[in-house]
Amino acid sequence: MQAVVWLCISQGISMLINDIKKDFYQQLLDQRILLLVHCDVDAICTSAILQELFRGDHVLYTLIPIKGPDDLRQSFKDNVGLVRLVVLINCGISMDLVAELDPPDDVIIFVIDSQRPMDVNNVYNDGQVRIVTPVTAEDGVPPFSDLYRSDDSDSDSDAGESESGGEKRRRYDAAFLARRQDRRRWEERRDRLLAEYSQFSMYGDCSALLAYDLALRMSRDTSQLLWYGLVGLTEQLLLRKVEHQRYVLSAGHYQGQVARYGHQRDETTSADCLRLAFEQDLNLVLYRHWSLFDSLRFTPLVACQFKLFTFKGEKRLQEFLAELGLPLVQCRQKFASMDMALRGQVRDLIQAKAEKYLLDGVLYGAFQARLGFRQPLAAADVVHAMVALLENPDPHRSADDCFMDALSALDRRQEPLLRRGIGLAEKLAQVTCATVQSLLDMHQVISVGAFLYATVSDGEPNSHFFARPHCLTALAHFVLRAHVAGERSKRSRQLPLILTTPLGRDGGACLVVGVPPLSEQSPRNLFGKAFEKAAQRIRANITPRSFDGSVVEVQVDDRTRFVDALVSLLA
Amino acid sequence: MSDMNPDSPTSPSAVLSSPESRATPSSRLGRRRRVSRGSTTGSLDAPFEDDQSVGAAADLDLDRDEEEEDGEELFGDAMENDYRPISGLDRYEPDMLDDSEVDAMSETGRRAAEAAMRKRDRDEGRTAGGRMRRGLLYDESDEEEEDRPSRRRRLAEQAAEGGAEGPEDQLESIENLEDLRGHTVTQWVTKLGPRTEIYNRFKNFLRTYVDEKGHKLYMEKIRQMCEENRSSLNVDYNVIALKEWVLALFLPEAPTEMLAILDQAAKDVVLGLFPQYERISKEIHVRITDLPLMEDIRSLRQLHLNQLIRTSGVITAATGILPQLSVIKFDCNKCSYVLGPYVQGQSNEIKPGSCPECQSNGPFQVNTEETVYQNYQRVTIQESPGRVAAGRLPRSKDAILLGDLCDTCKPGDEIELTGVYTHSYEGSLNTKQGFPVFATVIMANHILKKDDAALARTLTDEDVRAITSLSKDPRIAERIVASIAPSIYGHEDIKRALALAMFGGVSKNPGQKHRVRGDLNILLCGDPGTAKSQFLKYLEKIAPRAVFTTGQGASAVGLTAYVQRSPVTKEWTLEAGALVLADKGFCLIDEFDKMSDQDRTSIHEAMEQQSISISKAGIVTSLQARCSVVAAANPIGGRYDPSMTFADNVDLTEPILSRFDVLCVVRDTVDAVQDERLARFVVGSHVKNHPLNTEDEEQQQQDDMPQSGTNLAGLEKIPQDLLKKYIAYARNRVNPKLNQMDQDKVAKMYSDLRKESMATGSIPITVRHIESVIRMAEAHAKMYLRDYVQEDDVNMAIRVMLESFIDTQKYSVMRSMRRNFSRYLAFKRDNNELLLFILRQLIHDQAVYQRNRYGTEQETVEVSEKDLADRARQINIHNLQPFFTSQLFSANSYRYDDKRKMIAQSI
Repeated sequence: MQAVVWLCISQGISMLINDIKKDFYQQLLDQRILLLVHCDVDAICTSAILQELFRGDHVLYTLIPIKGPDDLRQSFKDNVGLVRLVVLINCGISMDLVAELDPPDDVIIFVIDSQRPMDVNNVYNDGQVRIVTPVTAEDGVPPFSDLYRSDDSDSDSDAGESESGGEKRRRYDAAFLARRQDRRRWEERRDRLLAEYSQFSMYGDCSALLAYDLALRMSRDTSQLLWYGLVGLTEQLLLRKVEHQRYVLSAGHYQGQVARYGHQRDETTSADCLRLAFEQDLNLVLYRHWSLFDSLRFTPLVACQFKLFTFKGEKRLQEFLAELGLPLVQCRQKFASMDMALRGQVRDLIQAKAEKYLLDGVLYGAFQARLGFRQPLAAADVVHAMVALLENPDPHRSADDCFMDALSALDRRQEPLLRRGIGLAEKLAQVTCATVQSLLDMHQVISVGAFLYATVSDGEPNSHFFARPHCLTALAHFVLRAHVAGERSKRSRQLPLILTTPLGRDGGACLVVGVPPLSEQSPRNLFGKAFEKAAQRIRANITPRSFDGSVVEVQVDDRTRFVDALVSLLA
Repeated sequence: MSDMNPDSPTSPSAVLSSPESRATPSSRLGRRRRVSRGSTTGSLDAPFEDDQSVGAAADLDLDRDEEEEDGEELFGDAMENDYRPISGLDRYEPDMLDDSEVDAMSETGRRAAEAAMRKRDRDEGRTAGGRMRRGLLYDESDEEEEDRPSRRRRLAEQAAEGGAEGPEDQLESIENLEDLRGHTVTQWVTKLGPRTEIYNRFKNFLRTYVDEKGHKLYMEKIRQMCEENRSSLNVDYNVIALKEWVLALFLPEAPTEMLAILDQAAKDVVLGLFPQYERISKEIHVRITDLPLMEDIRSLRQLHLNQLIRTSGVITAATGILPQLSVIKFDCNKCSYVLGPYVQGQSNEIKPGSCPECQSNGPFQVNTEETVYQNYQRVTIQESPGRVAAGRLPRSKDAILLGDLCDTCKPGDEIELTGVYTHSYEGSLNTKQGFPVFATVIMANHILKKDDAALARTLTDEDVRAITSLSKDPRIAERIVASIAPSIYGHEDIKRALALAMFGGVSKNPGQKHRVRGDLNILLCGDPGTAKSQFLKYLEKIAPRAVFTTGQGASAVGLTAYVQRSPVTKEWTLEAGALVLADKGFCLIDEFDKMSDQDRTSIHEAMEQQSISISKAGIVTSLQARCSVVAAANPIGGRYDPSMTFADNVDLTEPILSRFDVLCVVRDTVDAVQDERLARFVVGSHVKNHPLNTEDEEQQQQDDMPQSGTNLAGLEKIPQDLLKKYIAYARNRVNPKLNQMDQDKVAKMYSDLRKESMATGSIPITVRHIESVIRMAEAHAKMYLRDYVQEDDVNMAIRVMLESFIDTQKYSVMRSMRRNFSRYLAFKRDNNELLLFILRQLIHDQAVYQRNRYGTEQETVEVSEKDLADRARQINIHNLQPFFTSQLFSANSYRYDDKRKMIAQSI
């Protein structure tokens, strides 16, 4: 098997699975499958596509939502007895799966994951772990030869065997010494390479579109599946998992597919069919389902540009609307009930003035779905709704319920659920904005040298909203942006932010999230490793809450020490 | 300039009918150019926001001009045909032309000549008063300009070359706008020339006016207006008068015409800033504020007709908002041609003459689809009750509100109205009077509501700063109490209660289902001559929206609301009574006991539910009456008998008594020392407040005034103006939250009070009293502008509550009760005050003893220190020395004899 891998690497494209249909999907047929799906929108979309395919092929599967590394270990252990094939979606590529999960020898694990970096042991595994996501040169996996030495085992065993006997002899053996030195050098190099490779955590291409590609390969693609894929893609943009350019490239690529479905329609096609479209759209939170005014107010981009948390900011926003010629009365009512003439022009009006008001990025190429004669549904709306459903603050809904809610919200037959999700997302946006305001008002964002630090205090009435990774990350991004906008000094642009919030549960733990600085173009995050090291340094117990390690759980008592350790680490 | 061009102005009609009518096209062209250039050059000295506005302005000017020249257009097309070439006549009259001479001049020579002329003009401008803008070169009206096309062409050429002259020279406008040339102001401003000049000047004014702080005030205001999507621009008359006095001169004389021009100018400026604003608001209205002369409604005369006036009063009735024709289109019934649009004026009805299509004379129908309407509301403004001279009925006037003014005020609002006083012919009035008289009406231009919120809105930054700095004073509550009714001596409990009432609690509305009132109701009851009515009168002056009534003069419907047939619509309408008029304010009722029981019960609902429900004459409704009721009553038989309980003392029923949060018993007790101080205070007050006194003297005499002998003494009083602002600020901006309130304390006090109340049976203690405590705590927190109610506030509220309760007891139980509750009562009274209180009691007892024993003539009264120390120990005060050395001690003319351990007071 090693030879095969070696072959792949030497060819320059390290792909274990060359043919996604043959090497992945065909393997799955006729077997019971365990689907372990991470709780994020991309993973849910991926699983939705796969399930659609499985249904067509009568494949039996078990689906289990995964919240974090611990959850993965536990679920795997509990369920692995029944199946031989396990598919991990958006989880686990960053950990050494064989070591961590300890799968029985006959179990094969397929991994579809958009997260980077991959653990090298997964990449170079001898067949038990198969990475479905294509490994490209961009991922920068160190070459095999730099990580593994064929003589490793020999020399090790040699050394072990003749430890006592031939020690003296070898000490004076120049060749042995040279080999040892060489080997030490090689090890240093390997460690350095590994450290560089795993320093930042980031995201690659989204999994959902990979799954759609699979369907396309098998000629079983539908506009519905493409829509799932596009929702996954949009999630990556909205949650800042990838940079904007990358989104534009992918979007451009799949725009062709969108157009293809458009061409297929003719007179006989019913209006109830799903129609997809790709066009320039306003990057405002849920504006189609909300009032334009609220949507503007609660969109981080606009809020930070106008500094809406100040008294003047509100006026500036109103001035902006006046300049656009949009009456406040119209803006304050639901977008859907706005005057038709105005509604049609809103986008162009804002576009015309975006430059003057420095609202760069208020427009972006977005995917939309039309069903019947309703307001079109933007992929971003679905993402917002799904995130809100996934992280429902309602204590009576378990994590699995939330997952199922989010999964079914994708389904077009479950419209009420989607509406509920949108309602929740609106609430979430409001709460996020209010919390940002209070954090700024109380001057709780403080600079501690290498990074900014803020805490959502326990007494905050809405702190329970942020006890979940995505919401907290979104809040952290918003806070950082708002802080930089409000700050005069240029320096804060270069600083990352660490935000903590108490977990409502009585464990006395708190959630810590780190987000990269605003000046950083690519959304790579160095906090995963930093948190790990800081925890090691103070010997505190941290529980990673996500696979990229930038969201961790820390005991409240350890928090101060933890932050101090981070300060000295990053200084 | 006029001396250089001595020809007299001819009227436009003369020009039109003259044989040289062929000159008109060129003149029109020239005028256009002039107007557009006028605005362009205006931009050179006025830093414009963007150039677009200029273009828009110019376009608009053209439109306006064309509109203006509609009359000419009638024969504009046919004019070409009228013209027949006659070479003898087809040339300019030689005596009117002087181009030959000018053409002969060299370039440099011409410039020199022009420079000389300019210099002379400038000099003349200075000698003529020096208040005009420099370099307003041309002062001829439009008809004169026709004679000077060549000159204007040259100027245009110069401008094209790059402008050898300074910008001010290019601004062609009428310099002596105030020179009416024998026209009336109204005629003058309707002429095109002055009109354009006014238009340009006002536009320029809006763009360039800079206030003393360096802000472009009106540009800011326009921006603000646009932000809020309003369509009214408030312009201060005094500022216009300062900067553009001619406009200010014309404005009151020809308001309708002037306002139309100003509106247009303002709209142009707005569109320059916000090009898309037309989509938000079709029209911009200039509202003239602060007109210097304030007329009473009573003093409006024929003289004021068609003038801009400012008056004040109370809105007593308002009609619904009706759509009024604004731009009408008619359908011809015969050929269904759409006639119009006609702009509807305020006075006359528009009737088209004949259909231009089929020449029929009608009848025409209003085309309901294409006609544009505007909002129309008619309100009645009545003289404020306080301003009507005694013995006269208040007069009222109708006012018409249009557009966005509609519904800015409602019945009961006290407003200041600026508007045009106009008259209209009304048939019914004639038949009544027998000869032609006219109905008058005020076309409202600006309305200023004089309520609390408006006051709070008009607070300047300095005011807010003063208020917040004042609130930092740790003794601000005491200072406020001391500043209430400064001309009334003593009565701190009443002052405190009134202060709390003025700040008010926070009204709550759980689930929008029912309101819990936040206003405090207060009943003053006591002996005659204890300044009860004075307190009410003081409140009337200082409190926001206070309505003063007396028990005798008020009927049940007069207090609540009555139903009346409206004279306008002939429908039954509701007229607000005193309590409704006092919504969000104070209803002050003097002689509360003199009211009949029936009338009194009518205010039960108003006092607790703060609404008044009506079901009369087919009107079933509920009116808001969110007011504090402050009532003053006399006890039965004139004097308060301390041996009886409060309920026995006044002729008021339990339901109404329990609705009062605080009952203040004022007793006129004989206390030699206090009486003397009181007398001195009253005399001092009279001396101080003599009408002819100057401020300095007042200030000086202020220091001589005796201070009341409590811990309010020596506090710096807050000026009444500032106090008023402070109250308005606190009432509107501060809403303290109840957070971690000491619930046990309130609960304990309530149960104690209940127990005592059952035992003594004076006034009933109900759940309402818990709410009262909360309200008072909130009010007290508001005094400090706090966001949260603190321990202090609750303690103070409990103290006021208990004091009120204990005062209502029989004298016999009062003492024991005071002892029981002493820990609550001791709050915020410093030890000295408590000791003083005890000492005063001791002295009083001793004095009574001595009087009975030795007769009335006693010089001094003495008590031993030991007695006082014993009593003090009961309330945990052990060290008396600070008290003996305090100012309070000596201020009350006590002496402490160290050797004999005696305390003496000389009477």
